[in-house]
Amino acid sequence: MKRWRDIGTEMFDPVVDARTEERMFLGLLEPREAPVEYAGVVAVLRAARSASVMESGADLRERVVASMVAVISSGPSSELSVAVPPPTLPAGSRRGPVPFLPRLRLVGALVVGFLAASVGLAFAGALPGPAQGVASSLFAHVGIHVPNHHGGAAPHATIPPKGSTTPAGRGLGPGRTKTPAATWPGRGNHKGWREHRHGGDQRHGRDGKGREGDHHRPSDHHSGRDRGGRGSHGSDTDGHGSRGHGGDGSGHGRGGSSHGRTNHHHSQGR
Amino acid sequence: MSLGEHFDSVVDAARAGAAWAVGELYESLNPAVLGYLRSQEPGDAEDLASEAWLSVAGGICRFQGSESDFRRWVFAIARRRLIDFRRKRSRRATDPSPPERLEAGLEPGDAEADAMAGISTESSIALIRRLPPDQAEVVLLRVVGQFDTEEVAEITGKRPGTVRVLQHRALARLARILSAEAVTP
Repeated sequence: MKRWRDIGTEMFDPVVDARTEERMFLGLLEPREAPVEYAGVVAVLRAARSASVMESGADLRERVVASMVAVISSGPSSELSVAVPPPTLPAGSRRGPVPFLPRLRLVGALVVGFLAASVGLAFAGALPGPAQGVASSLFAHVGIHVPNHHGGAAPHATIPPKGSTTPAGRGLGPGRTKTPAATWPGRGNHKGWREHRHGGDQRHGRDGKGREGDHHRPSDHHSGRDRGGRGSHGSDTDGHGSRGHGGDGSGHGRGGSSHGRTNHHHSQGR
Repeated sequence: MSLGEHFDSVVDAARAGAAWAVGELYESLNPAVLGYLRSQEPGDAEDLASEAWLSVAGGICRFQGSESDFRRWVFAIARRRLIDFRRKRSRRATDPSPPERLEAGLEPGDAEADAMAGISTESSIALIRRLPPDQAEVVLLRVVGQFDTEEVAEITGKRPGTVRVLQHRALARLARILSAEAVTP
């Protein structure tokens, strides 16, 4: 790795082998034995070597030693344990202090990554409830539709459900949106909030009957805030209109019953 | 001053808080530590050395190793204190000890003659400090700290190959500086 300041060094690069260099550092080379260009360097290194015998004053020594004894007697402090590196460092390991700018870059990259992940999760509707709600309302301000924590879009982002038979304004309130179909492998049908229909008009499940053992998956149960559509039924009615499920009122939003893509629902707003 | 075979017993006594043992450790290494720090920060070397020794005292209970390990460890602490000090000073944007203070002692002239006549410690340290910081640090650890290449690499967190390159460039640059000053009227 070359830098501009090394250009001069590269241009003036007298030949000196590694062994000679080592002898210069160890103080084993006399100036007159060194290459001509390095005679002054050898003298400088030899003179600098004597800096290693610099003494401090006796009073300073006493004070430092007394302080050290006090520190040792008080036990290792946590601050010092952070500051002091372990005594045995593996060769070649890079334990130098992290410079400020790379650390800043690292923090910036972490922040950007966190924001990107949050936005992605928000679009997927996978953020925790309140956070999803906040993200939904924030994005709604810029016209981007993001599901809210009820599984719907932001208040202004009404998505008319496909196949809905409910007149607008009755069961489908402004907050109504669709949620993905819930499937419960195995038995019958588990539609939860999606199973509001007139008895007998459509059959669900393999046998077209909502059997008694059908369950509503807990995750399919929605908030049941039937503020506008009180008539939203949480009960599934099978083809005979006899056995209802749950009565959980699940999946009903503010405006009334919700509608799935394939099943027709209705809200009996009273 | 080396403690030799007594090192282990001295360290054990120092861990127990014996003042004589702490004093022995201090005396054995402080001249070199102080020389290293003084060559880097002449005005604050003693304070930095004191801070370094207090850090040593805080960590000596966990220290395990030989005398050379101890030397390396103490110098690593001193270097860390030096870096912290410079970082704080750069934040304060003040420089109480300008480097020109020592450089004033370096008279331009015939480098060969200076070499033969002998050059003062301060002048040589001032000359080394004119190197780029990473090169100067390697040279000072090698010369003042009397560490070999691998030890310098460990202390500075660099690879041994990098240290060799740095010291090679440092010597070449020193030679160039001396040569340039030798021809300067």
